[in-house]
Amino acid sequence: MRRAKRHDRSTLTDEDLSALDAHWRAANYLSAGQIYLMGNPLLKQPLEPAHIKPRLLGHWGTSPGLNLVHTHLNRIIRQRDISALCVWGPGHGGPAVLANSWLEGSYSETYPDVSRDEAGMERLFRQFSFPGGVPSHVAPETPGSIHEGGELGYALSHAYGAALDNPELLVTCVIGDGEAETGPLAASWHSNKFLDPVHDGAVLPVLHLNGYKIANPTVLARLPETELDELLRGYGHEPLHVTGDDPHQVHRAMAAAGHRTRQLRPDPAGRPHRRRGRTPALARDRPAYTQGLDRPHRGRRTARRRHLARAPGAARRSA
Amino acid sequence: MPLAGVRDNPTHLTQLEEWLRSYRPEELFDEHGRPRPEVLACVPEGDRRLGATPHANGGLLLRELPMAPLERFAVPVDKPGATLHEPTRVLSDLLESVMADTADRRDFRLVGPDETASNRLQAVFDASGKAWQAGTLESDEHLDRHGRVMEILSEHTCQGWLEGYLLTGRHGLFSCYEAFVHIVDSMVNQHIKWLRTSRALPWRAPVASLNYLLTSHVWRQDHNGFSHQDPGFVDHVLNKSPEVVRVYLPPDANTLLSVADHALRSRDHVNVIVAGKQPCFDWLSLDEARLHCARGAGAWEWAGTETAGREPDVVLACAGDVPTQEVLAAAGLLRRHLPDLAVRVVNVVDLARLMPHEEHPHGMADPEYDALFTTDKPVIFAYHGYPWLIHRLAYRRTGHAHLHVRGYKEMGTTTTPFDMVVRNDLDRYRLVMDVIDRTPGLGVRAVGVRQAMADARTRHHAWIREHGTDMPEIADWSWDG
Repeated sequence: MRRAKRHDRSTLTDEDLSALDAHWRAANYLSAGQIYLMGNPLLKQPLEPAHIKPRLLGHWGTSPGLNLVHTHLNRIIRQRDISALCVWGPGHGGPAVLANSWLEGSYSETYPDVSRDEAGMERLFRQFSFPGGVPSHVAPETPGSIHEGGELGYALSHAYGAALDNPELLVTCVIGDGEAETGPLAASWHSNKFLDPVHDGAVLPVLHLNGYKIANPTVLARLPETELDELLRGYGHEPLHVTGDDPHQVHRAMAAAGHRTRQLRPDPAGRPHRRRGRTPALARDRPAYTQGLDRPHRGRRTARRRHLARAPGAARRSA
Repeated sequence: MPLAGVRDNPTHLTQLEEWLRSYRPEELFDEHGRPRPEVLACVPEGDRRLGATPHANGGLLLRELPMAPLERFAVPVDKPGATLHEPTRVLSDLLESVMADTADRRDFRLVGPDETASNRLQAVFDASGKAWQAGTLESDEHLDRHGRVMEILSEHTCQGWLEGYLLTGRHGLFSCYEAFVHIVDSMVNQHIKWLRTSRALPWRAPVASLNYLLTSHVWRQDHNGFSHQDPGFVDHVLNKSPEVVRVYLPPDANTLLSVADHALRSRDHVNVIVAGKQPCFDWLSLDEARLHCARGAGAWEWAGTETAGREPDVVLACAGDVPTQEVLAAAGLLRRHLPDLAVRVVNVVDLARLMPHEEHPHGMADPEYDALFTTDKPVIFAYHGYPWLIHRLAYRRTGHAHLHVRGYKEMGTTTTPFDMVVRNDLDRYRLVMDVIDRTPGLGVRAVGVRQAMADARTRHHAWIREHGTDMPEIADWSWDG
C-alpha cells in the first residue's frame, strides 16, 4: 500500500487546512444535531432533556467519514473545476449528506422552509427520522442523490451507471464496508472492465472502513492491509489509504490522496489512446481517525464499544 | 449510536453537550445560524455543488428518444394466424434503430447478463457492439470499446448500471431470461420505491422508465428444463406501487412492437414485458395491435363464435403468447366439435386491466369488466404465469366465482414444448375439457368430445416418449378460422 507521502502535504496551506476543518466540523455538528436535537440548535442555552428527540434514530458512526469525503470532494471540485456526482452507499448515512446539502445551500433552495439560518437549522434537525420528516438514509428526498442507502449492495453499480456516457463527470462512490460484503457489490468491482475511457466518465470508489455492522466486525476491516491491497489491485485499483487520529493530519492525508486521484479527471477531449489501467481507490480506515475525535471518551475502547450499542429500531445491517 | 439514553440520563446529557460544544459551533455559525464564510470556503458554486448537480435529478437532462415509425418494423398481417415470426427478432429491428439514432447523443443502452443474441436481439449489433475494455481474442464477436450494449453475467450489475444510467437522465432496456430476473427482485423493489417517492417530489423531474424484456420464458424453456422455468417476477412486481408498475404480455410480434414503443416513451414506470423468442403466429396487424394495446384487454371477435346481441355461453381468456395459441386452438376445437356453443375469446395484454380501477390506474371499472367477462358465465383463463395471480387481481369482480384459471403450476421438466402446457393443464385439450365441465348443461351433451380430448392427451403422452417430438397435429397446427 502507499500512504500519502509527507511531501504531498504541502498541497494544503494553513488557511486551506483551517477552512477544510471548519467545514468538516460544521458538517459533523449538523449531523449530530439531526440525530439528537429537536430544539436549541445553536446551543444558545444549556442543553435540556426537552431539546432531545424522544427516539434517537440514524447512524452516527458513518457520518464523520462521509463528511470528510464530502468536504474534500468540495475542494477537489473547486480546484479542478469539474462536474461531479457522489453516490453515498453506507446505510443511515442521511445526516451527513443532509448536513452538507444544507451547508452548501442546495437544501434550502430545494426546500425553502428549511432555510440556511437558525430556524432552518432547527427544522433540519427536527425533521430527521421524525414523523412527517425525512428518512435516515440518503433517499429521493435528498438533493444530489441517485441512490438510497437502505438495502446495501448497489452503490458501485449505480455509480458506474451514472458515469456511462458522461465523459465530463467524476462519480465518487462511498462504499460501506458492510455493503462491501454483499454479492452485488462484490460483482460490481468488475464494472471497470466496461468503462469506455473516451465516452464515459470516471469513477472513484472510496471504501469506508468503518469497521462494524450491527453486531459484527466487517470482513474487509479485519483483513491484513496487504491482503486488502491485493484484493483491490486484483480488481484493477491502486489503493490509497487515509488513516490517522489527528484531524489536521487526516485532512492532509486526504488532500494528498485526493491529489493522487487527479488522473481520474474526466477527459472531455476523450483522448482515444486512453486504455484501461489501474485506477485509484481510496480506502479509509475509520477507527484510526474518528476514535476520540467525534464522540466522547476519546480513545477508550471499552467506552466506544458501549456506545456502539444497537440503536433502538435500527434497520437491517445498520445500527 | 453513542449516548442512547441521553433524554433520561443526566450524565449522557452532559456528555452530549460537551461533545457538541467541542465542535465550537459559535465559530462555525453566526448568531443567526448562518454558516460563516470560512466554513463555506471550500464549497463549489451553482450546479457544481454535489447537492445541486442536475445529473442527480436526471429528468432535467432527459431527452425524448428518437422513435422511428413502427410501420418500418411491423410484420404484415392480412388474416390472423397465417404467418409466424419470432417476436423478439422483430423487436430487435426497432432496438437497432433506436441504437443507431442515438449513436451521437449516446443516451440509450441495452443491458443483459449474457443473452442479447440468445434472445434474438442481435440486430442491435449492427448499430452498436458490446462494451468491453478487457482482453480480446480474434474469435470474439461484437466486442467494442465504445459499445452501448452491456453484458455481464451478473443480473445485479446489469440492474445497477441501468438504474444509475436512468436516474441520471438516459434511457435503456434490460433483456433477461424470465426465470433469472428474480435475481434482482429486491433491487427492483428499491427502484420502485425510489420512483414512487420521487413522483411525489415536485422538484424531481420524471425519468425514463426501467424497461424489462423477459424472454426465453417458461413455456419455451422445455429444452433447458425445470431450473429455467419460473414466471413469478410478474407476481413480485404487481405487489408494488401501482402508480409505478406495469406488466405487459403481448401475444405476437406487432403487439410487442406497440408495447415496447409505449414503454420506451414512458416515464417513471417499471415496465415488465414478457414476450417469446420462438416463432409465434401473427394475430394482429400493426393497426389492430395498436388498438388492442391501447385497450389493454379486449374480445377477439374473429376468434370466437358469439352472435351479435346474444350473451356468450363461455369466455375463453388468455394472457401471454403461448396461452393465446392454446386458447385459439381450443376455440378451433370447440367450433368444430360444439358448433352451437357461443364462445367469446378475450385477450389481455396489460395485466393490470384486471385489477379494480381504484387500486391501479389501468384497472377496469366494473361495468367494463363485467361486460367483457360477464358476471355469470364461466371464464376459462389461460395465463402465462402462476394461476393464483389472476385470482388475486380479479377477486373483487362480480363474476369471480365463475373464474377458472390455468397456468404454470411448477410442473416443469425437460420435455417437448407442448408437453410443458399439458403437464400444467394449460393445453388446448384440457381447456376444452374445462369448458365442458364448467358450462352448465354441457357435460352430458358433450361427453364424446370430452372423451376425445382426454384421449388426445393420452396419445400425446405416448407419442413424445416414443418420438421425442410433439405430435404432427400439434407441431403443424395452425389457425384455420
